[in-house]
Amino acid sequence: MGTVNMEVKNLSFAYGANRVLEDVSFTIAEGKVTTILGANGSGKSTLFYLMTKNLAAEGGEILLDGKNIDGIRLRDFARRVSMVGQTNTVPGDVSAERLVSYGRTPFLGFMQRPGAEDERLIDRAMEIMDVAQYREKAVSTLSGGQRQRVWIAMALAQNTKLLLLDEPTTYLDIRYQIEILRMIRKLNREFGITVVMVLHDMNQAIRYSDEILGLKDGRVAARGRPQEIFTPELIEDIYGVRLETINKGEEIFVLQV
Amino acid sequence: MRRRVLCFVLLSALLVALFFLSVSLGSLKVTPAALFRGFFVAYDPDVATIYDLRLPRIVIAMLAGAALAVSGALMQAVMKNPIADPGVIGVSSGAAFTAVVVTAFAPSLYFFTPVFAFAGGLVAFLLVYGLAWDAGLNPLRLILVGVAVNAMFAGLSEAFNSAGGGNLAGVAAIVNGNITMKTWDDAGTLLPYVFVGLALAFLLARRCDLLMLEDRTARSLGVDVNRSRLFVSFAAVLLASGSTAIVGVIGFLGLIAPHIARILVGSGHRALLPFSMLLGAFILLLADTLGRTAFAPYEISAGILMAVIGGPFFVFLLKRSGKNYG
Repeated sequence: MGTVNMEVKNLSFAYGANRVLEDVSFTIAEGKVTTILGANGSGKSTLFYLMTKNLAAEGGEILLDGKNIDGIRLRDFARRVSMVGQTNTVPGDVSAERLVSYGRTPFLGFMQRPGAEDERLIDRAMEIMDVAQYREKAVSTLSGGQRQRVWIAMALAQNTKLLLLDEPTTYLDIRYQIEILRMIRKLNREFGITVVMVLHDMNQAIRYSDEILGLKDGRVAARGRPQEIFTPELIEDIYGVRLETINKGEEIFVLQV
Repeated sequence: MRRRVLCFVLLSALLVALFFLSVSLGSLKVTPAALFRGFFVAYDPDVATIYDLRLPRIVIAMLAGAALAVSGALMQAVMKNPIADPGVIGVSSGAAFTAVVVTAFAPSLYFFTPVFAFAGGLVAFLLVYGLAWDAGLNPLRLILVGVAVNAMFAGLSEAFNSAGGGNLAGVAAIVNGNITMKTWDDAGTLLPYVFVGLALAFLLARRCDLLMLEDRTARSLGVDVNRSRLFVSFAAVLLASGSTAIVGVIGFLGLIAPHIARILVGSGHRALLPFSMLLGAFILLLADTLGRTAFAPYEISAGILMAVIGGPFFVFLLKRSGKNYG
């Protein structure tokens, strides 16, 4: 399968006169979990949409294995990069298995049906995300946490080396937030998938990421290992509020109250 | 799965039964046995009359019903909205208007009426789609714009019909959604459009399933959402316009048939589209048969019957669609 490398170079983007991203550059650490953090309006969602080809860059470029993603067809892109968005809808009667099977779409010809290898990858994705027992159930009848696992399983069925997740824990109870984050880390550690995600919670970001990309007003404000970069000063810079941090051995915690 | 097969078998059987019932009912009544003899064994003047006058009408009702129902299902996929329907959003009246103009001014181009209707339907569709689009299709906006576009084209056709003194029977038939006095020529004109439209629709069935997801999700699966929408819309407008050119404006069928189909066979388009096709054929044939037999010798046009049944149904759907889709 090989590896995948995504590099963002001097990226800028504006909605009309409203500049959202300004000269953003970074390389996604291969084989790591990178979390994008930032206050509301910092440009993190825009950056996510640019990285998933839902928006086109105005200045600069995003390179996938050295090639500008603007020039890569959606189908070819989907064979190498998978993503799960923040809000997801599906008709009420679609079963979990059927939804996961959609993940094979970029590999199938127009009228082609999934073959044995596709079936294997669909089953594997469902097993990894522990949703195989719901395969016959309608996605709409599952709990929030189960549903999110099914969506990630669909992305896994694409069998890509790079997975992008937009706020994967939003709308979930804390128990399911942790469950999802642990699974995401498992995807990275056991299956070698490079993960990029947008998160809101700093402590979750610290605990479950290898790398942090902090955005402020559309610019990169911080970049590095969470244990090294998180200080009250940085938090104030990014979020505009002063919060203390506690160091406990190697670990670092932000007092979010 | 077994339930789905059962639904298909039952509906097909009902459609066949209705077909024979419809053939035998009317001012000329014949028994099925006489019908069979008349068709295959010996000449029978009654059966010959039925063959020339009643049978094409029945075939047209089935073709148009199938086309309108599938068109509705496709539009609902394109607009991600269970209340999209070629009649409600003005595509049918756009098609009807151009069909009316051609029928009045260039009757010699009769065979190509559906082509002109397609152009009119496409204009109406693009108008509604373009005006209702605002970073996504808002259902309410869609209906409001659809009502306006529908009213405009329907008004134009009515004005045209009145200005001609209502004398042009062909024009009046399109405006009123009337299937009387149809011939095998009409059936032959309609058939290729319905055939192409349905074939295209079935080819696009899996695409339609993916269009039901968020646009971003579909794109992440490598689906060019805009291009897929374009193809599906093309098929939907072709089906609606082709049938409108021959049978006139018939509203609500594109709402009712797919909705019932979804309840019976689910939202997957590979089952939904063929089932809607059969159900649309069944419903329109039922409406036309009722319309021409219930108050014989007077007729209620299928379009009027569909409006009477469809109006309340539409309100029911509107109330429901706020809650969920599917």
